Amino acid sequence: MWWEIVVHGLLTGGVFGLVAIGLTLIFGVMNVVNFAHGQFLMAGMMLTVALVTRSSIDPYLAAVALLPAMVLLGLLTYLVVIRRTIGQTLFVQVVATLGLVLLLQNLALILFGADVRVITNQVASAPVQLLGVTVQRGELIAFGAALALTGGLHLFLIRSMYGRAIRAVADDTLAARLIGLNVNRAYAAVFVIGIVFAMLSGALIAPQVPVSPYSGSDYGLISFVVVVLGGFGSVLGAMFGGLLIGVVQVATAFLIGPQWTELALFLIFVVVLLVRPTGLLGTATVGSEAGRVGTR
Amino acid sequence: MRTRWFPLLAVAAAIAAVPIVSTDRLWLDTLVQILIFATFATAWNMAAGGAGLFSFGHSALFAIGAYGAAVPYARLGLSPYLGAGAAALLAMLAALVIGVMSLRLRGHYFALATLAFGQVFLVLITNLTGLTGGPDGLTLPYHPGAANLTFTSIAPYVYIGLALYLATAATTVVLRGRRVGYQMLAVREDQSAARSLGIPALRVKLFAVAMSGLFAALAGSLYAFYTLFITPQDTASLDVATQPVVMAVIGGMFVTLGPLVGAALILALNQMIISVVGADVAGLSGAIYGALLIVVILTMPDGLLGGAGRLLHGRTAPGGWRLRPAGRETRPVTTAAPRDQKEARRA
Repeated sequence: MWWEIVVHGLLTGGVFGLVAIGLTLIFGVMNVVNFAHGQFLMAGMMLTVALVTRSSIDPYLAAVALLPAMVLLGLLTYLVVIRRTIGQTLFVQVVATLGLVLLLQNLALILFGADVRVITNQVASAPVQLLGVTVQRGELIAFGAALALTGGLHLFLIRSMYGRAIRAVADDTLAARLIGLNVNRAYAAVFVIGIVFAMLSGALIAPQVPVSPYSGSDYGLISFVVVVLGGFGSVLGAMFGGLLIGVVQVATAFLIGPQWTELALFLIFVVVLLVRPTGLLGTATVGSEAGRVGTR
Repeated sequence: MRTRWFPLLAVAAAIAAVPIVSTDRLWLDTLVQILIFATFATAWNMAAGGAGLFSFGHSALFAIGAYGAAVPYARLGLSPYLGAGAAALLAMLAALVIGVMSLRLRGHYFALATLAFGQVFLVLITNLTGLTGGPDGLTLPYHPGAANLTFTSIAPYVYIGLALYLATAATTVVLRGRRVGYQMLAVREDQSAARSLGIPALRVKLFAVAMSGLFAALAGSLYAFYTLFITPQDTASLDVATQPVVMAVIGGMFVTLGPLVGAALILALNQMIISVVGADVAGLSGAIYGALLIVVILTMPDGLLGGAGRLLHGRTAPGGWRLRPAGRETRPVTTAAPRDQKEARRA
């Protein structure tokens, strides 16, 4: 039983980590807390479900086909809303992103209706054996994709020129500007990456979970918890936090009852924030300088 | 003295006249909602605008007020006034927990910790079904009478709501002119500097948040007895936690009447959007509301009254919390500022 909890928990947690990476990246580099992050995940889910039901293509193919739309939505949100909140007080950011929550949720309601939708897909629902536990293949695909994307982003940030530029902006905006980096462009890139990660997470779990315009806020709250566990701004920390929260969630649901999972998560959240605001890993382990986008 | 009280009294007189002039149930109902949420938002602003405690956990205090008064009334027949009083004391204790969180956490971190604190109450209220009625809500018995805080018409609720709002706003104005009010502002602007001047920062913040909790809970109690039906969603959800934040920020955090204006604007606006675009297209009114929220906050970051005050006087309206231009305190002034922020967050 314990082994099953761990396997299922890790599989669930991989996607939590992927959502949270977008949030932690945006916070670490831009110092913006995106309260609408869960709603972007929901948008990814809804678009995937809509595309699959209309054209009956494979959901994973749909996720790839939707990539340009995801980039566009992220860029548009950055240019129209987020760019104007940078450097403003927390109040302005909060109210603006709460406006985004309402906007996205209600646009989804207008476009797709309030019904809870489920898509069935043979590729995703087929049972497979993993380390002696029976899981759905879709969970495995989502988990693998989450790890691959995380690794890819990590390498991008530490190896490529663009990644270095982004880290420089995160470290010291003024100095980055002085050496001629385009801070605005770095912000746009970071926001788009963050949103695409959130929406891809939505697309990846769409074959497994029921989808409605209101599915976003739960994931948004979970990703806040994950980000705090992993340390704000830490990419690998967010993945670690996601895996941990996945296990905690499955364990609580299994041992105590599914209605208490949120309580467990929030209590962990408050305790970690109060005891170790820099995250469980602190600053010196996995999320050491290389992996930490913004230690500010 | 006169300028400090005049706007508040003028608005109060205008509101008091409404039930005499109009008997339109829809608008009177909106007015009561406005007064309840204006009280809630003004209470929130005592901690946020007053002492810099930007809390997302005030839904817990509102819910304690609502369920703390409603559960003993519905289950044991306890007087609503006793229940509301006890609930308010309980909420003050809960508010102190929020205050203690500020000991270690600033800015975004404090906001997120309080958000989790508020959501813990949502989960508890939803799942302690035997006591609270669970997700289906709790219906309060309908026994009209002043002793039960239950009335057959809406007008009495307008006056009770107005009295509660006035008590909250007046507390804000009084505090603002007192020693502790100045101490709160000093702590909000720069806690380290305030402490170096000998201001007991923690005690000042705890005082501010406890007063805030008291009035937030009373608003919750009145809400319960006005609607006579409460659910965890209506009293403790994330929507309730963000409601006072949005109202105070949109109206103007640094002006006493700001939260009232914000509450009036948001609730009346919602009502108007629905009556204009109708409910035929699900989500259309909500989408318009969300878009307007974004437009208003981006064009007027100091809120409606903050922006208007600056236009009229080059300063805020009288009786506000503001000492120096709002919205600049977290903005780096010199090149050294980012490093200070980093240390502040780590602290």
